[in-house]
Amino acid sequence: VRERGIGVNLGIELCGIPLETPLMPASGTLAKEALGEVEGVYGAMLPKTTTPTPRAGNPPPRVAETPAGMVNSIGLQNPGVERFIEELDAFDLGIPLFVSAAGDTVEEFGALCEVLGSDERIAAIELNLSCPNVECGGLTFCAGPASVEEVAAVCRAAAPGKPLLAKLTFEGVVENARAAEAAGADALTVMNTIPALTVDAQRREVLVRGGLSGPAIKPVALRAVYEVSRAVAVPIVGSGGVASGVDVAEFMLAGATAVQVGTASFVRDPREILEEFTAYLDEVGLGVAAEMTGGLRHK
Amino acid sequence: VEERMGCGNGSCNGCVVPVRGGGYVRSCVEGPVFRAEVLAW
Repeated sequence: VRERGIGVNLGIELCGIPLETPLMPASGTLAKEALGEVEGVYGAMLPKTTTPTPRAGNPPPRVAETPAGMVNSIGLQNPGVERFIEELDAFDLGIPLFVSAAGDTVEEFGALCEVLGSDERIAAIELNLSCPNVECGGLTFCAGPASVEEVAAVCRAAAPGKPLLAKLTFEGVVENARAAEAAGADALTVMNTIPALTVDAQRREVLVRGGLSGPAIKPVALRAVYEVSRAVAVPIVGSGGVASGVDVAEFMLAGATAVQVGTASFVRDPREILEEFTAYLDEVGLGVAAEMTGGLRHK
Repeated sequence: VEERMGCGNGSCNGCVVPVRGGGYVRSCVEGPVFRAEVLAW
């Protein structure tokens, strides 16, 4: 009798990059201060989105708890790409480093990808085409397939040979997925937070106008992964409410090659999620995690 | 200071407080105790 989890192969391949586990942090949910807690859990590291120039972010309050989730409006606070690159080694965990990038214009996206594309420490670039908290870089700018295709094509040309992921929002996800694929994206991250609002009834004010994340959006994200996986050939990184090992399995069965953990990592140790996923594989008699992708049975 | 925190480990940038001269610092890792003259309050 083999020991629990022994002999389970958690490794996957994404855009030609071997990852030791199918898990990675969702952008903006793991800072360098917290890296010590996640060694051996993630197959890739993915820091918070970088932008061409520093951003102060949105005024507080920025977060609000909701049933089974949270609404955030951080506003892409970051020190800008120059300092990001200077401090990049802080994110070296000995695993592939994916970098999330965003700009206000097509030109900004292109210039950013040129910088990131030429850095050998960076394994792949995730284009943040869907942050709901930045009007220009988010909903208005990248709302439709024409914008997605234009940005992805410019970034593709700016970072030749560098694997490119496009992170999409739920709205129009299938059309946007097709557009990103057509423009040369190597993979798609499905999906970002969903536009949401919390209200403080006592003060009669808006509390946080931002993006909803956490288990509350999991069924929506699963649907998005499922539909997109049937519409495109490129691999999908599932994201949205993953909080357990069985959630990881569900996203992979729905079509994801890898899975991001975000909000749940504020509540529980992501190591437990990986352990649960390993136990799940053991229980169902599947020794190879990669075989889970798209492995739904048809009734 | 007391701010609403998302992660508590510096990751989410949810618990920021404004500082003099512009920008924000995280109350969870840069604080929660600050020198009063640093903050814009």
